[in-house]
Amino acid sequence: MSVSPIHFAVVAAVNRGKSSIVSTLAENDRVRIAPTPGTTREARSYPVVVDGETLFVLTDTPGFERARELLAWIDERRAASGSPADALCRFVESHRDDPGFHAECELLAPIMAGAAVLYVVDGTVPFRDHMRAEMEILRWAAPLRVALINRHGPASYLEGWRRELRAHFQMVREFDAQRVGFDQRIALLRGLREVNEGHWRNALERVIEALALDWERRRRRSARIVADLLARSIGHSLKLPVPPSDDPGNHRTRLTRRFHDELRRVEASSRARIEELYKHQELRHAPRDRPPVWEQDLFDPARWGPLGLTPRQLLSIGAGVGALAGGALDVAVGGASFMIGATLGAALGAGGALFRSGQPLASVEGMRGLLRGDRLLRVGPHPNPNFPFVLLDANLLHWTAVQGRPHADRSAMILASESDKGGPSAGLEGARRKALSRLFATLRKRAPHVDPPVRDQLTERIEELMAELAASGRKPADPSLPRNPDD
Amino acid sequence: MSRSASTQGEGSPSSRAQHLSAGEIFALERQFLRDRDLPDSELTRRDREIGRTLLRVAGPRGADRRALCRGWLRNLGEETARDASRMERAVASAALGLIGCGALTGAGAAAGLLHYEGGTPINLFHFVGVFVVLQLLTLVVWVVALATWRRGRGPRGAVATILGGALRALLRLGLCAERRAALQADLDTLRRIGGWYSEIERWSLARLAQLFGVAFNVGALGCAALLMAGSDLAFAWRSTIDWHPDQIHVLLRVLSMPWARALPEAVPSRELVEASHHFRGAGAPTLAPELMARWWSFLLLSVACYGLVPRALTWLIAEIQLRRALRGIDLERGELADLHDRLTRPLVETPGREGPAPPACPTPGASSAEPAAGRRAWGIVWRDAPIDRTQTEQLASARLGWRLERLVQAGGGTNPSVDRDSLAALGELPPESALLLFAESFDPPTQELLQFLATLRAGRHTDPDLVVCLIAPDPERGWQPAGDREIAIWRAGLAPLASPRLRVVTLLRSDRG
Repeated sequence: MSVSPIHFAVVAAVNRGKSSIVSTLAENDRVRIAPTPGTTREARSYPVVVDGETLFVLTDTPGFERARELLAWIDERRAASGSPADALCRFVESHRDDPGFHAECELLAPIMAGAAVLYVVDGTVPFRDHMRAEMEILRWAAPLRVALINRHGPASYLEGWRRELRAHFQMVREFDAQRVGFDQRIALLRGLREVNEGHWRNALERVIEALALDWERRRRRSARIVADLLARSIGHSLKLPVPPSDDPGNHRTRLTRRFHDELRRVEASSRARIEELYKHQELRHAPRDRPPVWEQDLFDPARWGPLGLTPRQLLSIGAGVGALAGGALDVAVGGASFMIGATLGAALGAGGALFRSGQPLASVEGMRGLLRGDRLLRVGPHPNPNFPFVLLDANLLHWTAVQGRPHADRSAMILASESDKGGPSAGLEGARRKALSRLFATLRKRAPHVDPPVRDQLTERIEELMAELAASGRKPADPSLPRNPDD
Repeated sequence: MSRSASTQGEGSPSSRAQHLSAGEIFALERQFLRDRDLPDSELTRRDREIGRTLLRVAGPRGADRRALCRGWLRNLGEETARDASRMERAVASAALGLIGCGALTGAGAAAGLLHYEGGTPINLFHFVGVFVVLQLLTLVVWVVALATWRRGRGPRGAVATILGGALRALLRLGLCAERRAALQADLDTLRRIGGWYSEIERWSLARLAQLFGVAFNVGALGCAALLMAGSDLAFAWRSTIDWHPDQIHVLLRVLSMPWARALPEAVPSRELVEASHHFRGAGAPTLAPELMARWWSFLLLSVACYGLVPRALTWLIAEIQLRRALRGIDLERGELADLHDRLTRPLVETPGREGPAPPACPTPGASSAEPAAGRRAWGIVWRDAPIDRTQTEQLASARLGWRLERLVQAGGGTNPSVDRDSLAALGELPPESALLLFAESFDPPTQELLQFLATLRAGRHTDPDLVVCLIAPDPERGWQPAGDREIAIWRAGLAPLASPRLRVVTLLRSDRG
C-alpha cells in the first residue's frame, strides 16, 4: 500500500546540530557538518526510500538568524491575516528575495508546504529567553512538532530544556547524533509514531521494518566479507622458481614484501566493502601516529600483542587437537594403551603449535620433476596459528567501529581504549575457539580452494560473534581523543 | 534486461526439479564471479528490482528460494540466462557423443577381437584381457582418481581431463573470441577457488565417463552377440607361457562364479579348456557345437558381468552422487543466502546529496590582537547572558583594565524593540569610549547581531573600538573562559562587518594561560 511520505523539516538556531541529526538519521555522511555558522544556506532534502518509494524525508534547513524580528513581524500582522500561519505564509512570500531573512524563508518554506517540525536544541547549553521566539514561530507554523535535545556531552541543562520544550512540542526526545547506534535510531522512529498515530503509523512501521531487515542483511554480508578475507589470507602463498645459479635469499625479502603487501591490500579492500555497506563513504581513519590496534599494520607486532589468542590458549588448542587424535588411537586399541596415545598426542599437538608459531614465513623447496635443479621459493601460507585469530579480531573490531558509528561522527574512527586491550577471540570459551581453529586449519590445508560448507560455517560463527559484539555494546568512543573537531 | 521473461520456463522440467540443475549452479557461480567487484549498493538495487518483479509475478510461489534463483538468472540478461542452458546443452551433447563413441568403440573392439576367417581360432585370452581385465583395471583407476580428486584441484586422470576439456570445448562453441576467453577465465577461477560447481563438475564428469563405459559395453556385447549368432567362430586359448589347462580352468571358474549357480552350462569345464588349448602351427581345435556354445555364453556373460554391470553401477552411483551434490547445496547459506536477502529484503536508500559548499568569507576575521589597557567603555549584554553589572565591571577591569561606565541589554527576550532602545542609548556613547559586547560563547553571531552592530556603526561618525568578550557558562563552576574554537567561530562570524577596530577575546583567562 502506498503511503504519503512523512516529511520533517529539521530546524533550530544556528549551530545546534541540525545537520548532524539529519546525517545520522538519513545515514548520510555527505551531509555537510561544519562549525562555522551559516554552513547550511539552502534547505536540502534527504529522503529515505524503501523499494523505490519515499517514505520519510528529512529536510536540513539553515538555522534561525533573526527569529525575534520574524516573531515581531508575525505578531504585528497576525490579527489582519486571520491566523499566524497565514501571516507566516505572507512573510515567506514578501521576504523571498530579502537576503536579510533568507534563512527564515528557507526554513519556513518546507513547513508551510506541510512538513512536520523536528526542532533541535543543544542540551549542553542553557536555555535563554530569546530562544522562545523560535519555539513560538514553530508553534504557529506547524501542527506536528517534535523536539530533539541533541546531547553530545554532559547535558546539565536537560531539565530546563525539557520543561520549556514540553510547552511547545508534542514530543520531546533526547538524541545524541554523534553517538547513537542503530537501536536508538529505531527507538526514535518508534517514538515518532506516537505523534501522529493515524497518518504516520504505516509509513513509519514500513521504514522501521525495512531498516531492521537491512541492518540484519548488512551484518550477514559483513560476516561473509570477513570470512572471505580470512579464507583468502589464511591460504595465501606466493611461489618463485629460483634457478640453481641464483641464491633464494636474494629473492626472499622481495617476495615476502609482496606477500605482505598483497595481504594488506586484501584486508584494505574488505574493510572498504564493509564501510560501503554501512554507507560510510567519507570515513576518516585515525591518524597514523595514533591508530587503534586494528588499524596497525597487519604484520606489526603492535597489532599482534593485544589481538588474537594468548600463548596459553594456542598451546591448549594444539594440545586439544593432538589429544583428540591420540585418543582415537587409544579407543582403537580398546584402551590397552593406557591413554598413552592421548597424552602423546597432546604433547605433540602443543609442541606443533609452538613450532608453527616460530616457523619462518618463507621456505625453499626443491622442485620435483625438474632436472635442472631449480628450487622453489615459497612464501606463505602464514604458518603462525595465531595469524587468523589476529586477523579476525582486528576486522571484528573494525566492523564494530563501523556499524556503531553514527554518520554525523566525522572524527577519526577509534574504539574505546579498554576494548583495544583484548580481541574478541581471546574471550571466547574453549570449545568455540577450538571450532574456529579447526575451520582455520581446514582452510589452510585446502588452500587456495575453499570448501563452501567450511566458508559458510566460518561465516556463521563470525556472524554470531558480530551479534555478540553488537549486543555487548562496544562503543566507538575514546574520551581521551578529540571527537569531532568540526562540529 | 527482459522483465517479461521472468515467468518463462516456470513449467519446464528444470524449474519443476527439487534442486537446481548443474547448469544453473554453474550460471549462478559464474554470475557471483561477475558480481564480485560490484559495490553493494549497486548489487542490492539491481537484485531487489528483480526480486520485486519475481514476487509480483509469481506471487507466494516466487518466495521459494529455487524459483527465485532461477528467476534471477533469467532476469539478469541474455548471457547469464544462457549460461545455464549452455552448460546443460554441453553436458547433454557430451553425453550423447560419449554414448555414440562408446558404442562404436565397444562394437569395434568386439569386432576386432572376434575377427575369424577360418584360420587361427580367436584367442580367448585377448577377449578376456580387453573386456574383463582391462575394464576392471580402468574401474579401479576411476575409483582411485575419484577418491583422490580434491575439489578445486581440477580433474584427475586422463579420462577426466579429456572429458573436462571436451566439455569446455563444447561450452565455448559458437562464442566470439572475447566471450570464449571470459568463459575460460571464469571456469579456471571457479575450479581454482572451489565452490559448488567444482563439486558438481567432479560427479558430472564421473557420470559422463561411466556413460561412455556403459555404451562401450553395450556396443561390445551387441556386436559380440551378433557375430556369435551370425557367424561360425572358433575359440581357443594359447600362450607363450606353458599354462596348464587346470590353471586356466581354475581362473575361468573364478571368473564364472557370478553366474555359475544360475547358468552352470556357461561355465567352461576342464574338458572344454583342455580341448580348446591351441598351439602354434597346429590346426584349430575341433569342438562340438554344444561345447563351443559354452565359450560364447561364457564370453558374453563375462562382458556383461565385468563390463556392463559394474559400469552401469558406477554410472548409477555417479548419477546419485551428482543429484546428492545438487541437493546438498544449501540455498539458505553462503552467497545463495546473500542473494536471497538481496532479492527479498526491502531496499533502503538514502539518496540525498549535499549542495555546493558555501563560499568562503572573503573578508578577514575579527582581530585577535589584545586591546590596549586603561580605556573607558560602555557595555552591551547580548542575548540574555545572565551576567550583572557588578560582574561585568569586575571582569572588564580584571581582563582588560577597562572601566565600564554604562551597561545596556540587547538581543534578548522575544521582543526586538529592546534593541531599538539600546541603540538609542548607545547613540550617546562618547567618541573616546569603546564598546564591550558581553556574549555567551555557545551562541554564535547571527544576522541579528550583525544587523545590530551595523546599525550602531551607521548612526555614528566614527567607528568605535568594539571588543566582544566571550564567556562560557558552566553549571557547576560558574563562568569559564571561552574555548579557542568558540572564539574562532565568533571571529569568523563577525568578519562580514569588516571592521579593523573589532576584537574578539575571552573575558576570563584560562588557568593554563
